[in-house]
Amino acid sequence: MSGTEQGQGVPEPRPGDAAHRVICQQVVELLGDYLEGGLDEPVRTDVDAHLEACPECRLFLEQLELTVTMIGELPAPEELDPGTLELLVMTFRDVTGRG
Amino acid sequence: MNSRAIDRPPRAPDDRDPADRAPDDRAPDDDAVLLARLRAGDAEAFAGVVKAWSPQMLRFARGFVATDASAQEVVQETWLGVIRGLPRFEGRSQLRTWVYSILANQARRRGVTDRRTVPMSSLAARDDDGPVVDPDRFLPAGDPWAGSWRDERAPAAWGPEAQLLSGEVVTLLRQALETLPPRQREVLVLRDVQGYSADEVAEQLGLATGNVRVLLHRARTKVRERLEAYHLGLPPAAAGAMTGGGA
Repeated sequence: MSGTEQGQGVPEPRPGDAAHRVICQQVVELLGDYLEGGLDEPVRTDVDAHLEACPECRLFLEQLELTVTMIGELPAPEELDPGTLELLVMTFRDVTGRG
Repeated sequence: MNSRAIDRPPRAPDDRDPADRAPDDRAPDDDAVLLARLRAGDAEAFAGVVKAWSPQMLRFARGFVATDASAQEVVQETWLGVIRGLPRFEGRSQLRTWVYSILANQARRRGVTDRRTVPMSSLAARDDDGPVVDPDRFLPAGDPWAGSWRDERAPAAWGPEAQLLSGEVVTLLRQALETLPPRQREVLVLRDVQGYSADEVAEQLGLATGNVRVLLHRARTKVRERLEAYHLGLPPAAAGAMTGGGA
């Protein structure tokens, strides 16, 4: 398999259909290359088949993609974090009693 | 890719509201006008000056403190100090001078505290070793479903609010980035914050592209784990933060 090394004691995949050629514990290692387009065939097809059959791994992948998206959306360091301005204005109104 | 403050076009000269101008753009009587409005409880004026001044204040604070998150807190505390201190401020110095004196105090104090805190990256897991997910989350060899997720530790849905980049999530993500091993953090920032390709990152850091992908995947899964713990209400250790041999 191309890509990352397996952790110690990772069981061998069972023979059978493509979804079982890779197991969850291997899939999570392979998803890095999967996301970056670095997985060779036939492993890529095996991972696709596994993801179709395995809701937990699908969820893991979606959450990984969401993580990447959110990291990309982080405000630049020169911007105030979301919610801070509102908090400050609210406090200002409370303290000055007007607004 | 992020739109960074330094990339945006410079402000045109103008007849904007004094509250919206950066401190250096304003004439002395603008200062008096602004102060009067703030004292009168004009929340729009206050919002305006917070928005206009905070970027520079954040950059200033960042020079004293260890992290972006610390800078955010310092600036927030400064504005709270301004709100509290307004009734007593007599306007004999410029508003900017006064605000920056509060800011400098806050930033200095926080800088001292930050330096006393053990640098988080020294506690981080090893850089490129071991599985990206705690093996305990999977069924062991010998089990009929060996290598599959354990039910009780399988990924669970985070809920629709997880799509929202709230202030808390921003803080959490910043902290997660800060605690990554340096190489992982560099790769993650270059790739996912600044948008360089894996090949470009490899070239910039003098690494093989394959190595970049490994580091990237490790970094992303660690950050995912922090988000998972947050959204599921777990302490990070329970979510499986202790991977490989790292602390």
